[in-house]
Amino acid sequence: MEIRDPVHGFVHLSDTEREILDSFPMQRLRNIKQLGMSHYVYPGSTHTRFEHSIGTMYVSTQMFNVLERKHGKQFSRIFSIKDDEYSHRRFRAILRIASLVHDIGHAPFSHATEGLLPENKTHEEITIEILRNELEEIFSKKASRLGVRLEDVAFLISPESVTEVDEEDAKALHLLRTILSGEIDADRIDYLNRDSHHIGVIYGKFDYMRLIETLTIVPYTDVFPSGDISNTELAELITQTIEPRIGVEAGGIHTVEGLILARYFMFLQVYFHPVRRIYDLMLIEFLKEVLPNGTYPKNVNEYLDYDDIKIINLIKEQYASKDCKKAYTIAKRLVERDHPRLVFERKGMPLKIEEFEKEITEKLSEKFDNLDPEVDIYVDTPRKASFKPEESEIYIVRDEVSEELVEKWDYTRTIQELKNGRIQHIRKHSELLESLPNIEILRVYAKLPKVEVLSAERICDKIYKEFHAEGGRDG
Amino acid sequence: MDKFVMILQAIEELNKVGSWSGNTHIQKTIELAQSLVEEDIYAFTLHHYGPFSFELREDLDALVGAGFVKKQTDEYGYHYTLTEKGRKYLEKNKPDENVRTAIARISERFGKSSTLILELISTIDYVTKKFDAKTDEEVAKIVKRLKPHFDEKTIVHGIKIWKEMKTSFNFRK
Repeated sequence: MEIRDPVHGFVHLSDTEREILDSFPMQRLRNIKQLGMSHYVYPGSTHTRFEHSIGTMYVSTQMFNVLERKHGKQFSRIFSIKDDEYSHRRFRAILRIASLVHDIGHAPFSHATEGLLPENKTHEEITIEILRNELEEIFSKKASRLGVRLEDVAFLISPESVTEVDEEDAKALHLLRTILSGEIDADRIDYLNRDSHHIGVIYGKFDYMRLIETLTIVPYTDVFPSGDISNTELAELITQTIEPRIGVEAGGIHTVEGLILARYFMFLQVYFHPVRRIYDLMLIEFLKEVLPNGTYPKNVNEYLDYDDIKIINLIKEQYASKDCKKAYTIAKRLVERDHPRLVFERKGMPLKIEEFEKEITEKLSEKFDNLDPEVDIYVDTPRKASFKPEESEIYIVRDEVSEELVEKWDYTRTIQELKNGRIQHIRKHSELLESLPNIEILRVYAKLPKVEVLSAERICDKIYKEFHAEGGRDG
Repeated sequence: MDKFVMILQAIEELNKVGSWSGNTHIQKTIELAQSLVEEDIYAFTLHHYGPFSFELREDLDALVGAGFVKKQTDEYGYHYTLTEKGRKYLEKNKPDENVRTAIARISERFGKSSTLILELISTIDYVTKKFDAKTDEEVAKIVKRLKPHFDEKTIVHGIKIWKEMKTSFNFRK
């Protein structure tokens, strides 16, 4: 079976993968938008977790194939798997299926409403529950023929949730997991390119094909200066620890920069766009009001019933019924695209953000009689967004030593290469990345007419300065 | 307790013992300190390199942004020191006695250890809290599954050191 993907072209699926794709939990992803409420800003942003899942499977396969080809016979040794066709096929299949199902636990509107998952679970933990409850039969009847067990796949998504993995498979699964979800991973490569493609911005595009071609395995150990005399025996034992990590050959440095810059700009321009964020925040407040106990249900079957369509229907119901004032007010704004205005924005946040938020809400409500603190005032920071750029622990290997290193791979050699700079952290290679600032943005929204914005900004600014001043309320 | 004070105290103690005082040292010191005093101020999850708290990392960034902590870079990566503002804040707002002692003990014991040792010890600690492992063998088995690059002998030795640390802290309490 093949599917035409708008980003990668034709993606081929095996019979087992097709059966998984046709299952209800996978089909549900057709109704979960990839980027929450971004379509309120970028009308093209209506793509879903369904196509991202297929794309991630495609990219992870490319990554696996490049490493397999590049390292030849050493590939099996690094992955601690048997050097036969069956083992290679089996681990490739585990990676592909894990990539395909990695997002089935997502809540409606993806990350936007992730904070409402039951019992503070992560979407990865819910993915595992869904796998065990809904897809067990496909695994036992079909995937097992390829040697793929449900728990192998689960390990790649949430190793903590898994108790049954063969010890001899653990090293390979650990490394495969970093292909799906690591510093340079298939998930990220796919969503940056896909989001850019659909939205119509170019920030998220980078030469990912070149990046994949320059991937390699880096033998990693610790070279920090220590002088540790408290744990000499353990330090001695640790010297035998070499961890294989996914790295990049020096020739791929600019594509890594491209990936990290793409992440940075996409965060600022799309994922943390001020208008998109206010719709995310309003949606969360709406759902807290209308969902039983303010969260999605704990029961897997009931949880799977929730998708974007169900939430949109809830919004429409509240808009029509006017039963609950708070839910109605927000529903009306969501339907009519009528959001509170951005009245204040600064780089840098007060440490005591909860205190700051409380005071802003109080002072704005005092000043403007018609503001209802429950639905008219919102304070936002990147902390409230479930997605944010992270620091990157990426290692760059000089092209000419990439293959040689894994062939003669021992502690002394690895230390030597790390010390002489033939394996280096990306920071050493890229002044550009070194200068990327942390994203610390503080925003205040209020439902005010344009003419009142300046006055609201002054109030916010005064409080902000009180918190930030030397000896001020932040300390 | 003011959670920022706990981070500032960890940076202060780590620097005092001549630690590298990087991200990993701060993360793992606080994870172990929380375990010793049996408080969960920060929620940790198992990341690629052992227990990790996203909230703690954000708070550390916020402290840098607000001028309490200085983030420096050199060939080994990022490391952190207190600024004058951070020092003054810490003088005025000390963490609880128990937390202070726990951070000091861990810094003395692991402040100069490699990040791999910290990864191992904090993973052992995490496993004992989050998994239903009753014996050392069970703990070792789970750690081996989650961190397969450590060999059995290293994990067993790590468990021994972790136990010593826990016992010594209880004794001092």
